[in-house]
Amino acid sequence: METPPPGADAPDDAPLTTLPTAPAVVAVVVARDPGAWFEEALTAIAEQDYPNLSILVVDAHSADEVKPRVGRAAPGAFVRRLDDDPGFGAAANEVLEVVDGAAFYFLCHDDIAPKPDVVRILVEEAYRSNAAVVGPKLVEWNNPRRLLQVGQGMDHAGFGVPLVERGELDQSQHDAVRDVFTVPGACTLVRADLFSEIGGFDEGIDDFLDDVSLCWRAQIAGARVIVAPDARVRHRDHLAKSRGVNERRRTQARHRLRILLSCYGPVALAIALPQIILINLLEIVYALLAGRHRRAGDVVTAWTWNLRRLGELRVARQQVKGFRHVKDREVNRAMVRGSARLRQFGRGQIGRGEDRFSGLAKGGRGVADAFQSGSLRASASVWAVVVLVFLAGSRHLITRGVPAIGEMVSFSSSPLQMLREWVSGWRPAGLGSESPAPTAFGMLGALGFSFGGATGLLRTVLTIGLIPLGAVGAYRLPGPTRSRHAQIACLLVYVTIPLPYNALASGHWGALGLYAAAPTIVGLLAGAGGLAPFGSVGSATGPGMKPRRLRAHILSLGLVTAVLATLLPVAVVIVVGMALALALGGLLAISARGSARMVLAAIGGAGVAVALHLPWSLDFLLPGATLSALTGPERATGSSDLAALLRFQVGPLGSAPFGWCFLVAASLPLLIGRAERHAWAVRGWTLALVSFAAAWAAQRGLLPVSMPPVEVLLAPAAVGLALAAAMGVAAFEVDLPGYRFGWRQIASGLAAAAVVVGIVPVLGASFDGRWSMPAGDHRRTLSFIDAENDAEPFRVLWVGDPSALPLGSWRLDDGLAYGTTDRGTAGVEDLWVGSDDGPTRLIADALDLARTGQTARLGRLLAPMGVRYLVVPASLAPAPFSSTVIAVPASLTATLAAQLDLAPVDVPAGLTVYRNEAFVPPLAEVAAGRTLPTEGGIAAALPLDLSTLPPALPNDEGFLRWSGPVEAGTSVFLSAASSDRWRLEVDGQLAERTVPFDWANAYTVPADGNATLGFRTSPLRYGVLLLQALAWLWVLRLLLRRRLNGRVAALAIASVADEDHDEDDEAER
Amino acid sequence: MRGSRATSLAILSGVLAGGLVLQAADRSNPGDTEVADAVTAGTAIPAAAPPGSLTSTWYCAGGSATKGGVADHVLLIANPTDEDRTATVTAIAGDFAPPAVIPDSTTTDDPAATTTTTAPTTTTAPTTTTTTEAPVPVAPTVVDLPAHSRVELAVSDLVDAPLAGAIVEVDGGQVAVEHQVTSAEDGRATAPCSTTAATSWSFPWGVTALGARELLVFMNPFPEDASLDVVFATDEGAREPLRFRNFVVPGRSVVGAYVDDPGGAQRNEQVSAQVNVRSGHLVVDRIQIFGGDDEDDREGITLGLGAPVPAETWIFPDGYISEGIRQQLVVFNPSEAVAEVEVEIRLDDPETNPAPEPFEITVLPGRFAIVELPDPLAGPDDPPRVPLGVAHSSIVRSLNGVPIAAERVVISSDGATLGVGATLGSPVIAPTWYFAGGGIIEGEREEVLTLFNGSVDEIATFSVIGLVDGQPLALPDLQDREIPPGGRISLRLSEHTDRASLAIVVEADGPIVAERGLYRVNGRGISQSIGIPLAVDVVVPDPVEG
Repeated sequence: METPPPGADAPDDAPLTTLPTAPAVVAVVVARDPGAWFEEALTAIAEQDYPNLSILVVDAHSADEVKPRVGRAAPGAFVRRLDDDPGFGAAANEVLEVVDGAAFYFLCHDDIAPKPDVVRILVEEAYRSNAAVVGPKLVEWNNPRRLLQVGQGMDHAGFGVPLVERGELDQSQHDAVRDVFTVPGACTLVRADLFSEIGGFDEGIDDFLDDVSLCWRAQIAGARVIVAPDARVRHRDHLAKSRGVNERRRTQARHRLRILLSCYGPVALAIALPQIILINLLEIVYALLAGRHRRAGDVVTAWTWNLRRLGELRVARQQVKGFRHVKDREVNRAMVRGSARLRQFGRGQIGRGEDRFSGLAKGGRGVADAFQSGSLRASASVWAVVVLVFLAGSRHLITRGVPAIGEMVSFSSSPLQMLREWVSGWRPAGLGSESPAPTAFGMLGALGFSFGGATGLLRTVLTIGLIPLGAVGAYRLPGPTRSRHAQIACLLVYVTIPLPYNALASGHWGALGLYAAAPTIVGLLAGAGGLAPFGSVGSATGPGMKPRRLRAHILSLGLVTAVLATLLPVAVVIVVGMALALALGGLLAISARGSARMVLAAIGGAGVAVALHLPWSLDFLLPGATLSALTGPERATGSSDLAALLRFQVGPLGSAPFGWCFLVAASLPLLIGRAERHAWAVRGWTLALVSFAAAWAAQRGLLPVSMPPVEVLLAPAAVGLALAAAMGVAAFEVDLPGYRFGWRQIASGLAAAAVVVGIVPVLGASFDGRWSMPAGDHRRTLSFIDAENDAEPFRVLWVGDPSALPLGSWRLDDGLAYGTTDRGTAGVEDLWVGSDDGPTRLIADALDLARTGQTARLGRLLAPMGVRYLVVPASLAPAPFSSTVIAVPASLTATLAAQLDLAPVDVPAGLTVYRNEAFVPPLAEVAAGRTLPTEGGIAAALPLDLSTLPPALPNDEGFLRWSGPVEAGTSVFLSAASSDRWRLEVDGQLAERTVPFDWANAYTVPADGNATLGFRTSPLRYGVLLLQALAWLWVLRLLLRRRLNGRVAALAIASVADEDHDEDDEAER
Repeated sequence: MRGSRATSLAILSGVLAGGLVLQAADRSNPGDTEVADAVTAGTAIPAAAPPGSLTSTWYCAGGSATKGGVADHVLLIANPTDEDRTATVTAIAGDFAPPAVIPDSTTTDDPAATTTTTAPTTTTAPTTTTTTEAPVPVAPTVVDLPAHSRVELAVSDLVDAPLAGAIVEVDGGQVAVEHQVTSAEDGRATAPCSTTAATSWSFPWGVTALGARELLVFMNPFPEDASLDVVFATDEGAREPLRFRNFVVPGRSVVGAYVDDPGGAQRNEQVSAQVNVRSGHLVVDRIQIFGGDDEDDREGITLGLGAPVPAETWIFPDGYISEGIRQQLVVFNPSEAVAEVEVEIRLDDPETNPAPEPFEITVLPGRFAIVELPDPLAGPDDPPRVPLGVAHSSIVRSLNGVPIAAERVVISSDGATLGVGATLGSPVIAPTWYFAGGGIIEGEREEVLTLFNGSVDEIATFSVIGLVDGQPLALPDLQDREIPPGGRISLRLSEHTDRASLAIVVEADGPIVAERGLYRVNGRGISQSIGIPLAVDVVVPDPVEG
């Protein structure tokens, strides 16, 4: 195709139309499955009044060839069909292959309709302004009085700054020719020689931001980019609309980063990168807080996408380097100062489907809309306050660490140690057993490695981090109601209920875990029930809720339950209880449909959780297991004040009158709610009342079985009330307008006031920076035990109220429990102890003998058990850090004080510590000629003074393995439950094993030499653990494939409504 | 919709309201809450461990274990069971705490002890610490206890020390341990050893008047040091002498302190002592010695534990006053509330002897009150409230629930039985009682057994069995005897046996209290004590109904 060269001799003041030959312009129209408008667009281009215009239509592999349509609309146009769709830029680059001699290329999408003078005006302006890239004014296709774009600026991080507000009325207010950083990509005039020099469009950018890349590269090559608003082009914006906002945003993020990485020179890139990274991080944090995981994922995947294309980037940078005529600082002058992104945030524009085509241009109008629609700005503001209060309230816990109180024990073991314990077939709890280790060991070990071994940080995240996790769940729970205000109410009520802070103050980690998971569990149960708005039963499905098979719900619930049960085994039962309560609520609301599915899903989920925890689950199922292994030992009955429980006042927070606010707020939907909003409010209330009743009955000791801590029992009540409060707001928005003005409006006002007033106690509690947790713990007091244990191992026996014991424990009596540690003070590995069936129960027998006055030599009974110290905590922390006394039964105090071989150790108030003067090292050498009794049980130790036995095998060879020199004829006593998997070898020779005291191990040394004692784990256990790990991976993979559809947010399995506010926003637009 | 809203509202609010109403109703009925009873056998009173017990442990605090000691200490261990048993006896040596000296003094002649005194200031209470070095531990001695036998063991055979106690650990239950102190000049006293180490001990009675010596013996059987304070109640009010503030008893040691020493309680005719252990647990015996040179010409020695736990009811089966025998019931209130107390005297043969009007007394916190029989203030023509020459039992009960401690003192100047006897009452009733000590020598020593029927409705049938030469001996005429409801019976054992060494077991078919009196015939020596109940079917009597 021959075209005349650009006219270099054109007089400055003469119109081009008077020139004998105008510079040749080739209009390049990239057609990609164009719609019905295509003919109109082609006709508009063909009818340009420019005298030397040719048209090249590049058919980017449209499903229906466009050639016939081109023939009808623009008979003179050339058509080139491609074998695939490489994207607009690459398709437009075809012009470099097939056209020669053109002065300008007029690059067009297939959905633009320029006025007849556009090409002429653009060419004239190109010459007049000596510009190489000239863009027109884009207006809406159907309403040309509305502006779409008149060029835009750009900041140093690649974010665009629109010069006009999208949708703004065109009153010629932007009609001045001006320099811009980029011009609209839908319609661009570019000088052909420049286009050729820079290699056309960057073909690594298939769609979106290709124009930015082109303009930036043009400026690097020394060209000027301007906009000529007199040229008006109608634009349908079909490409953007056809892709959807999420894909558009994701693609833009990737391309934006590619442009930055390819266009900046080395020095400029080094300067800009920190800014880019910082803004990306802020964007991720913001997105996560706003519950927009996909947005956060987009930012992350932008980096991974580019990093995977480092080779392409290198080539692109080389290319840019080849045509660079202008230094970066010159180009940067054309950029906008500061951060456009932060300014967008300030204007409340982020999140509203923001992208170059839509979000930014909404500007100030969006701010007002955001408030009026109660949407993101309000959410962001509430979240900001919530985060601020949480950070302020947790500041000392974050900076100085979470004190080791109650279940919140220190993570003293290394990740490797945790994994070893998980893999090992020996469980040291109590006197040891061959029962399977908790899954938590494996999980914490793996998490510890993922934290780079920073187990302290991991502990902080896994304790106080559970509160924001619960908050996020609560915010997402009412998502399907389509009311962001409902989400905000749910969030506010959930985070201001005192439960998590009281759980922190009393050291109930399991309760925090359930608090974090409860909203997700309720959301999953609701989804499983399929009731509107969580499903289609009764009304329309809310956004983000997709119909799924019951099997998928069971898997989701199972995984969430399994994760929770890692920390709180009784969660398996609680989830079923929550489902039953919700089902009961359905009956009360006369809306029982879906209840059976809900309960079935919960039971199935519990089954999945049990299966995922195999073989650990067997610990709770096999003969000998007790319910207390699941729930923990019975606690001393606490305050049974129902009013206090209703206010969640099980700790320092929750006193009246503020404590009643949640109930007031949650009552509104019962009065004004209709349809599914009323039904879900009743379900929420029923869940809450069942939870309160269970807590009350447990506190009064009315239940025949042991129950978990009251904070655990109250966690479902918290989410029930929060859900009801959310439904109240939804009812306010949907149902209230249907009523005449009256008491309902007043009630609504009261409920709203209650939500606000209910915040006050939590605000007050945040001042101390630690949510009333003590500033210290018993670890320093008991550091001498750790020091001695490092030198010579022994067991520590802990006795007292289960709430005060910093470890998992077994029942001794009503309100009294015992547990052991074998590495000094308690660590996280001591939290899950399982059943005490077997020799471990002998510890309780020994204590019972002393408690019934049958011996004053408890020390001797405990000596073969390797118990050197006996600790009785009477508070969570020593004075002066804690003034809360957890009563120790006087009979226990008197019993221990009456023992002739227990010497009290002088420690601060809050603890009673006895040293066992009859102590025997857990690995002891028994002199030749002396034998330990193999009959008589623990009582056989009473007449024996074994305190003189020296330690044996002093060399620690790793987990459950020791070595050292031994002499023939002596014996090695091992204070561990009898097992033939314990083996002592002396220079390869196996020693004979006996069972002293009917429960321990002793080995007769056959010859002088070096002995090694170790435990041999069954190979079968390794196989079972491998299967367990595979089962977890299988379920995770299945859910991720099914539910997350390849998106980021790995553990957002539960999901309720998440998403798609973006789509709502799109709809709003 | 309206129907479902009303239904759900009604049910939900009904459940909520119902719970609150239930709660309110429950609050108005506090009687459901059980208060643990602190009075238990083995704690409030020494008791033999029940059958099947793995071991039982006894603490015998007071006594001397050296030649010429003030109170030669002998252990009496009775095994009334059919099985041979073994006792491990660990002697604990000790010494007398030096008397306090003038306030500025910081040293004593005794190198084994130090006394330091801090002068009082205006802001802090003066503190005195009396310490004695811990003695060298003594190796335990294993003693065989054949079935149905009594073993006597002189502590001086185990250790040589000015004072010595002993821990007796028996490999089973149903064993009773008493100890006996003998003074060449002042007589002999026998009393049960303790089965508990406690943090407080109340001694209602005590005399520090000229001619009387009151010795408190503190035994710490545990490894760690213990410290204590002693508060004395006298006619002149409460006294907290510096000498007994922060009084330290080293671990595994015995320390004796004369109350009447300088720096202690001043000379008083009546001194109640309250021992409060600051740290640790102790066993405390009191040895009261009269040389016959006091105003009342009292002679003799008494031995006894304090009350580790105050109780609302104290029962004294024995009682008798005559021209030469008088009796004091001393009630001490160690609590911080006023106690309203009633002392009931139940005369023998009530059909003939009308019941005297109960004595009603008010005992202030930390103070004592005494009921003296006969009333010393009564005129010669006044008819005695409690008739002379009629045996009786006494019941001391707190009417307002404030626990107290009560002790009975018998002072006899009767030519046949000369001396002073003192014993705490029994706060419990039980069907089986043991006496490890005792014995009869015709014309020299007499033993009287007095049994009180704790039931006011039913007759109690009892039998008395002696442990003689490894065999149980059913004492003649003392089998299946009856005690009338609420009544008592007194048995002179010389009428049924002549064994010089006689441990006895009293078995009844109902709850009773057994008391033993040991008397030296025609000489100085009265020793009275409540027996040792077997910790089976032990009942704490109701202070109102009982």
